[in-house]
Amino acid sequence: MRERSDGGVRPEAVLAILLIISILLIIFSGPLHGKAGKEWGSRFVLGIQKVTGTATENIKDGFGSLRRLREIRIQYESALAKLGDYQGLERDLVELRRENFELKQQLGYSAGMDYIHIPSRIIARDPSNLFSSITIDKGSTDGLRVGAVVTSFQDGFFGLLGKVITVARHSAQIRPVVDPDHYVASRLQKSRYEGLVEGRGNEGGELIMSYVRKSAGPDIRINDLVVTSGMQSIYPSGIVIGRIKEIRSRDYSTSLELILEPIIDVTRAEYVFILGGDG
Amino acid sequence: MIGRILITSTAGIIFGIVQSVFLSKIIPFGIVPDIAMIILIAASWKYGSLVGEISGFIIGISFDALGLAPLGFHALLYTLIGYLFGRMQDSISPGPIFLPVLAAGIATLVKYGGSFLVSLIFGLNSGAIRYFSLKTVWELAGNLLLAPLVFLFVSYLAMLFEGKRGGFN
Repeated sequence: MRERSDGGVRPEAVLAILLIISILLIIFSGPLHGKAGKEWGSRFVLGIQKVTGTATENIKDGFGSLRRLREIRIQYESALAKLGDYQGLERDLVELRRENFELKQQLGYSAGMDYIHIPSRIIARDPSNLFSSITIDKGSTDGLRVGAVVTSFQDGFFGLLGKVITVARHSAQIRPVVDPDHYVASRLQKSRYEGLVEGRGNEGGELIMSYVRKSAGPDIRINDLVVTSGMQSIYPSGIVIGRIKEIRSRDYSTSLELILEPIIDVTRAEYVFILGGDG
Repeated sequence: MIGRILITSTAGIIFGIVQSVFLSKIIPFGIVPDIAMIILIAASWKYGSLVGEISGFIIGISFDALGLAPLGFHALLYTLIGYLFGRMQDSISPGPIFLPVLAAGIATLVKYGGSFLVSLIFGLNSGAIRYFSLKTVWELAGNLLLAPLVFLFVSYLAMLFEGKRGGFN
């Protein structure tokens, strides 16, 4: 038998008090919308997370530098050999750029796509595996504000990753687009039909696009891209959200349900770009 | 007792940050073993329910601050886990392998089962919480593998502090 040193306090009584405090905190902090109640705590712990994350990245960078140097040398030699081929393509590229610029002007997109962005690095994820939060290494001192749109570049696509929900001085927390509490006004890139995208929070990180008119069915194909519509939303128009994976049409419903695969795989993302910061 | 709570909570929070910052980057899909939870069950088993539940509450609150969970969500789960495993203090010694592995398995199931119940009772968006998926199995496997090592670490930590200071109760 080991020595007990609880000073005569009944563990059951303390348990009851702690459970009541926890329950009250859950009720008053609101379902999955942690607002003012948790912000003071988040800012403090996010600060610690930022320091740890930066230290980890610096060590990782140190070890990676030598490997990258070797890779860069190989890439340089390879690039030198290809340079001759690309010189011929340059003239075509200039022409394509001019054409692209003109088309963008005609569609009214050019202004919408000129975002101020803040590059940032993902430093941490949810510690308990139960939620999908992400922490980045930029905060209010870098011009970030709550609600800012977060994008990333992956496999040749510049796509939507989520939005900023908590900002500390040197770090911030992101709610990814795959989270079910995340809604984005969207449209199909090709057929221009509109809908509302939300996360499903499931294993595959799928998204669901609802309220797409049933009459749009014949114009929609698997693998069509879905982009932000910019309609009454914090999200600027034209950011790629995902690709159609499945089209669902129910007899009793007047609209289609499109299952999307996000263009940005949150689990693989390392760097992000925050749009619309103060900077 | 305050010393034991401080040591357990500090170790739990440090490992919570390590698993969210460091382990999530080196393990595929970012599914990391919950070392903080294993530290909690090992310390609760060693020091009893009171230390377990208070440490669990503190570790849980720090997890709530780190993620998208509403404040109190992890606090409630980890308080319960700390209390439950603290009840084992006077009944049986954990030993080196079998019981730590079993305890980590049960604690993981309590964590996921508890999160399901909490989301159900408080009307939280159940889709936002990952439970009972392939990723849960990965986490369970990681917890089972690491449990004997973490129990050993907690014993070492206790010996280190109690040996140097003549106990921190």
